Amino acid sequence: MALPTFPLEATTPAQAALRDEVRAFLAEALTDLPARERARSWTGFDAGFSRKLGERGWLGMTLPKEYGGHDRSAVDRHIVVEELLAAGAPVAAHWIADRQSAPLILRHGTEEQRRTILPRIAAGTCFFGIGMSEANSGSDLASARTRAEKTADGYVLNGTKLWTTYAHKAHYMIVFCLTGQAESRYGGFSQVLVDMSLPGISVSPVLDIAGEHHFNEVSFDNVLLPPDALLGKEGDGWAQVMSELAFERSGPDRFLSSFVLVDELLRCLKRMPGAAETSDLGRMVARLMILRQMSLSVAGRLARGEQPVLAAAIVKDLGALFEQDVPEIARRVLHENASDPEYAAVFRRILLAAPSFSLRGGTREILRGIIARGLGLR
Amino acid sequence: MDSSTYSMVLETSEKLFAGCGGEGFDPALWLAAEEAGFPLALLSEEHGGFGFSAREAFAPVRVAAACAVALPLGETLLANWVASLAGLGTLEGPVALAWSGVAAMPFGRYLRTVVCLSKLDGGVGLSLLHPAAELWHAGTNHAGEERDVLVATEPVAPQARVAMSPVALRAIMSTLRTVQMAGAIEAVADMCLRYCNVREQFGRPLGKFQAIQHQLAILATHSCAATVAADMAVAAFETLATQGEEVFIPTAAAAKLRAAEAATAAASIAHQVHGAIGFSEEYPLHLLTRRLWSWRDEDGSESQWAEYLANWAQTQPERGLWPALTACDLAKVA
Ligand SMILES: Cc1cc2nc3c(=O)[nH]c(=O)nc-3n(C[C@H](O)[C@H](O)[C@H](O)COP(=O)(O)OP(=O)(O)OC[C@H]3O[C@@H](n4cnc5c(N)ncnc54)[C@H](O)[C@@H]3O)c2cc1C
Repeated sequence: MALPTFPLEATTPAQAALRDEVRAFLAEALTDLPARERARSWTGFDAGFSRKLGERGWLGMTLPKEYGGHDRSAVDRHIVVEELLAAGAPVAAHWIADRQSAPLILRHGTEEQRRTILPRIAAGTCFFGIGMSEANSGSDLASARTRAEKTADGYVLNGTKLWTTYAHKAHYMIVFCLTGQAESRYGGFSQVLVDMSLPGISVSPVLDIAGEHHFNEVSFDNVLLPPDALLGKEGDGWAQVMSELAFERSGPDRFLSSFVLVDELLRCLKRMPGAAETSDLGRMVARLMILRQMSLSVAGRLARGEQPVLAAAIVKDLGALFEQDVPEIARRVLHENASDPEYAAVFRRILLAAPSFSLRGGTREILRGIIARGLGLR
Repeated sequence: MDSSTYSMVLETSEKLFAGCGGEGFDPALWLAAEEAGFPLALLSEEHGGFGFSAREAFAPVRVAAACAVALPLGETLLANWVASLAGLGTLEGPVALAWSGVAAMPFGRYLRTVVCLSKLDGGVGLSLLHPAAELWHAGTNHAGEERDVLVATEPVAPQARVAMSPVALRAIMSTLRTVQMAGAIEAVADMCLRYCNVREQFGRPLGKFQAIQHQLAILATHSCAATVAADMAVAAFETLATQGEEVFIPTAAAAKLRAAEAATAAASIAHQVHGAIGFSEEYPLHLLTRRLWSWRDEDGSESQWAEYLANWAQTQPERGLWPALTACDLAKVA
């Protein structure tokens, strides 16, 4: 049978020390950040904070030293990320760049692209957007219509991307687009590195159900790209984007988005009436404990150079279910929640963010399709 | 962890147990398992064992569960481990641990020895009983595995003790069920996949329908979670001496709970995708699902462990859950 393996990862003393160091830093750096802000999880944006992390060497950790990175393992990075998310640190500014754009550029970029961009990502001063989805191309990414037409001096980019998280703050966007004629459904695509300061780019906000602005519509109107904007090989866009998604799918961001609510719930239970039956709470803790080890195990496999696509999809599917259950469990366990304003604000934020947990980064249905393929059913 | 030993143990137990599934205790198979040394594997060589790691020693237990074999393998393994810890030497098997006064004991009527546990100040007391077969009142769990009540027990004074909390011992016993559940869930998933690849309706194998694919995907996520849960509990059992009860008990509790949740989901999906054939006595699916329905509540019911863990989380200091969770991480031994 084709079930993936999740070998347990044991923590070295150096890794335990790293965890302590990050935790101590955060206790200090976030003292004044109220829980309702920490509840934004990885959509909380603070460029100054990202720069501080860069100074500490906690961004671009897995990048080679020659590109400003720190030659650390995927497991070390995992530990830092866990601590950041558990504390509700505002990590959005560098999030996409550190998680997926940097590894993508390292793997497929030219020497020039690596030298100019990676050190800035590691310093926490260069932010990225993911330009995959469009109005008519969501799960079915191969139906994307944005096109970069090759000319004598580079490319001309036309089209509109949608749902682009923090495009309004990004220095670059990696745009998935057509560059050639498609011989097959997945052919003819490339990824281009778009400098967001170029003329012809307009970014307009799209508000979410809580009235918050994080994602955007991004239009490209005859944007002239230099030839070296191409990232990777022309025509390899599909394969590149699929391997990029694997980085996106198994990290602690896939089960810790609502952790601040867990903390707040426990705080309130200490002094507010809760259900006599708290077994839901116990079950929730159990799921979290096992998810942590599953996700850590995937980090271990990444660190050994493997490509655990199936295992990553499994972690993300279970993780999203967990994150979405947290507010529902909180409702059942705590009798009333309006009298503590901080709790109430955190609860609402998580409740209203929860639908996105099983959409962003590949929907639940798409993930289950990937798992089914891994099981040999498709 | 000696991985070559591990794969050797897996191979030996698969050879021994494959195709031997059934409802109740199989005396001939028990002798074969004893011959292979499985029930004593946790003991050091000087005590007649193999000095296996916990992972290696629990491997046959997982395989036996996957093969739907009813043997007090894990029970004997753990009872001998506790007995040797208390200096009681090697016990004649089958043996099981049982709390005095507790209703049903696994495979009671076949046990040569019962290690009767009682709470003492700062530990657990042990006394050995050798009840005659007629003293057992026969019963079974949902799966037809023997769960017998000892009718007349006079209180026996503890002959020995272990410096371990009663709840730690309970967590050790529950780890056996966690490992069994992980093994059986994986076997259920395997059975479902094979069935959905061959059974055709509407001109296609069931596995080609997206609705079925998604059910099998969910089953796979639960199977992986249960396996990780069991590995975690066994690893924490292994490091009990170094990392302590504070790490082992919550880990084992979480593992039992998570495996129980997976068991419920797996049994439900498996019966759904199998249709009526899976509901028939003739088809072997129920040998696994009925065990899952039993094991999820044996040695600490799902709700008891859930309450335990809820209380554990609630008694941490403010914002202390996270540090408590990371303190349970497996530490690499130098
Ligand atoms: C908060 C948030 C941030 C995001 N940030 C970004 C970003 O930065 N960059 C970016 O490019 N995108 C981003 N996205 C977009 C995200 O990638 C898409 O929402 C996702 O890929 C799904 O596409 P869609 O929303 O068009 O839904 P659709 O693809 O239209 O799907 C709608 C529903 O149909 C189901 N469905 C679709 N196809 C199938 C199928 N074959 N079988 C069964 N069911 C199916 C889906 O699972 C879903 O339930 C973001 C989304 C959110 C919510």
